[in-house]
Amino acid sequence: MTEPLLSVRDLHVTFATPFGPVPAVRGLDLDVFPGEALAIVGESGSGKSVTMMAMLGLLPNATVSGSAKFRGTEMVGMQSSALRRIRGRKVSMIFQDPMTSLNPVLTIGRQMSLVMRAHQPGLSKKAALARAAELLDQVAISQPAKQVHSYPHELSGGMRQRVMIAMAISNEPEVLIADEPTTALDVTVQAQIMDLLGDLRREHHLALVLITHDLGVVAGDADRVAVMYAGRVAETGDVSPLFADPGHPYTRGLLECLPRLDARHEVQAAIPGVPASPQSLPPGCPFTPRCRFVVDGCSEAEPVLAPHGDTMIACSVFA
Amino acid sequence: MTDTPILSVRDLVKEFKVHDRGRSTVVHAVSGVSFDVQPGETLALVGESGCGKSTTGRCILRLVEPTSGSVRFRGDDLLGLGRDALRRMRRHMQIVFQDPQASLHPRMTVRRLLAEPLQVHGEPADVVSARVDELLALVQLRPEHLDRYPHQFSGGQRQRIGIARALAISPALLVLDEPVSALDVSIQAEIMRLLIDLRERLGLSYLFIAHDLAVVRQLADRVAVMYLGKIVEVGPADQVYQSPQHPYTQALLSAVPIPDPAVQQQRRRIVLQGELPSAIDPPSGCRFRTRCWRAEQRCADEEPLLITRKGDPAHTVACHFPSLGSAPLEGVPT
Amino acid sequence: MTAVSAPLSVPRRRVRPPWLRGPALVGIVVLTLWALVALTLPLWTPFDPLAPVAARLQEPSWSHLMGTDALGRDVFTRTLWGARISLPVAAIVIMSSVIVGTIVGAAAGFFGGWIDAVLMRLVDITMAFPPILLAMAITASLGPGIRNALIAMVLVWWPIYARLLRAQVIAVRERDFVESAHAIGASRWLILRRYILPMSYTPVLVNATMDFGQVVLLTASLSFIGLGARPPSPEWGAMITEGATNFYQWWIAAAPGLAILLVVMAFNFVGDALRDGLDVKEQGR
Repeated sequence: MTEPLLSVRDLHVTFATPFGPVPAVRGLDLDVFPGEALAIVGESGSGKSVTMMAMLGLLPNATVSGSAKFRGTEMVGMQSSALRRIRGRKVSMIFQDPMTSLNPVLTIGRQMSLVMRAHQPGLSKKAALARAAELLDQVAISQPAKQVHSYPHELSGGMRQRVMIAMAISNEPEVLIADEPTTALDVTVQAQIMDLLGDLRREHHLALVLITHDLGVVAGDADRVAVMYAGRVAETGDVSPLFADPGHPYTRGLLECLPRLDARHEVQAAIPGVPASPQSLPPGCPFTPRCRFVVDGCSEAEPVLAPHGDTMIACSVFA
Repeated sequence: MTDTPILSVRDLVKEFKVHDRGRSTVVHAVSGVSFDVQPGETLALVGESGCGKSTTGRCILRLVEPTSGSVRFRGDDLLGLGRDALRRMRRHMQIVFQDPQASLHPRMTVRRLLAEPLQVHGEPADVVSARVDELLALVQLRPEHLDRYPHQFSGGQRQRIGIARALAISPALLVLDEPVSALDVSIQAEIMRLLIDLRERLGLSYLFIAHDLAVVRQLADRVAVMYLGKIVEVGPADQVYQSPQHPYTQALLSAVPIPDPAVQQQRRRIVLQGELPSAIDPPSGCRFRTRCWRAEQRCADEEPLLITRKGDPAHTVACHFPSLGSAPLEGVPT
Repeated sequence: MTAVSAPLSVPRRRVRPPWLRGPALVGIVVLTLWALVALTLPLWTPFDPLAPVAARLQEPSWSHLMGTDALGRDVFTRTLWGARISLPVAAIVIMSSVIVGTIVGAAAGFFGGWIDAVLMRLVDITMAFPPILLAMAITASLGPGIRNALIAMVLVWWPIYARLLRAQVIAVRERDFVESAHAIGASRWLILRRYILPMSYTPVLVNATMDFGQVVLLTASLSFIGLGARPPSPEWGAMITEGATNFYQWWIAAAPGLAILLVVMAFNFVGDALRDGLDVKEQGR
């Protein structure tokens, strides 16, 4: 049994707001194994982005507790100087909006070189720039030697996202976290980017954590999936069994309400109500207000992950 | 077709003048688009960013003034109308916007938002009041919502308000500009069902502008695919989805993932090379040729016309080398 | 089909709005006091501001809190009376400038084209002059006196609001909800009145509040150089002029100077808080 690269246990992330503390993540368990593609799926308010960002120390205003280990090293509570050695080097992250993720006043070559030299002190400016051009070629940017001197505003959205990916893999990380990498992009560009990520994964034996709300992308590009709702994992498992036989009512509802390219039917079911807001959660299971299968026990205690067929679900009724 | 189409667009062109570092250039946003919408029909206008679909929608309603071309509503010309005549025509065609938060005046209550279209068109107060109640029921909101402000509602509810407002003066044609893209997936289905239901009940015609082909499949009768300001393929929805003839349509369909690993992992995804060309200087001849795997010299020299190539005369394609095989293409689901 | 569930509960604020905290509170209190004093003057001082009431050039004492000036008038009394000039003048200047500026700025922003070009050149030309010089030139040609100074100040001040409003109108008119008004067939006048102007006034309000203090200073400056209020008017700037001649009797200039300081500071505090408070409201919460 391989050891997980990333191992999260009982993670809690809370934000202090003028309206009181808001629990964005409430007891999350997660594992990421070498070379696999794990998708974290959820709608707005589920806490999917916050989880990874908090783990990497990117949320200074949040209170983070619990455990998140990279290869056995505890990252929660780590000094920022030590975290910086992991972040960008062993665990990289790319974000949703390529328009705002890049520094507009630096050429992309210079930005990439800065990232590399921050983690590889012996690297000269010249070598870093040459390596940057190589990386741009790897991410299928045409005329890489020329593009190294371009500014972000001269590139399209898809190209910018590829530059982000190039930057993220420049220090040969073991895990790449992609937070909604294609949400802001057109679907044909999405195809290009997902294809690229798949190739890079295979070539570099990279683990990919794909945060998304698009179950279509998950079906095609992920090995395992964790479905999040209201700051916790509702269901997790391998992609095929989870889609074929979803156990948790939320997962079931989500899959049923998705329009499919290959089906001419009108979507029959929708999940009533609105996605749970972390600011006002009901007692017990957070899905109760929207669930068809509610019984009395649901409001009493929050269910924990337990096996259900081939997946794990957090549901008192079906587990 | 013996009925007059409810909407008839011919050779619509929209060019934007842009000042870029002291020089004026022209962005060819829409370059000669023609289509009809029949009464009671839903025509979907699909494409990715920069294809000109939203601009087309706005030109039809004259929210943006077209550069040239003609737009007819039930046979009557729209583009030549003066301000008052145009206002009267607005009773018949309305628009639902993409972002429900941005499209409602933040300081108007729901009551005022729904009443305003009626008041603008001179309806008396008692008619307005009754109609507002009717509209609430139509979109399944409740009377206590009337005195609240948009920011007090969820995204799905705001979109319902937007739809009610568009229906207030009983238009026959509704232009829907990405009406569900800004909503969570579980809410999208609700709003789609509402739109389908309203279409039945009120006998509406829809021009449905979207980039999400899976969403469009649920309610489109016909689909028109746009690329860089031009329509590249039009036809009955089933045909376009199952037997796409234009390479761009094929690439677009293959790129849309299906949320079913058993199916999705068997599909072959067509990955387009290159980037979208600039709308300031589009490629000569066929605009798609720079990314097309079938492109030849003829594609650069001669712009392909939108014509029927095979089978149903209603299915037209603008391509010199369309796929005319009867077997569905690999990578494109049935 | 089931009806949609109840709207999201909007969490109630548990903090006091910014205009009731700290400096803003101080500002409001100070301004309220000044307004009260100006309205009920005889309660606060028994003396006549214009007539000599005691020996000349006396130091501050318990009977004359800020001493007496070169003509034997009570400085404290004159300072309080000065509020009756400076505050209303500032109010009139601001309101007139906002009205003129709004009309010009809204027209320029809403109609665009040559209207915009012409109006903005007018604004540019007016703003090219240093305010004091312009005010001086206008007052000098109209003749001295507080009324002419007021006119001059409005002519100097309106372009600021014109520019501000034009920028806001241009930003607001592109927003989706304005497009929605066009779509239903609303007239341009309705759109301007109900959609654009109400959503444009926030920066104007903030600026106007801060500008109150600046106008008070400008009024005082004009009087100081002899172009505004004339003796024996107890306008603060004129009083400072007198204080300059009697330099060693520091209280004569200090009293009006302090008054100006208090008023300008108070307006600045309130303006700051207003900007913070209104910014939050704009977000729609």
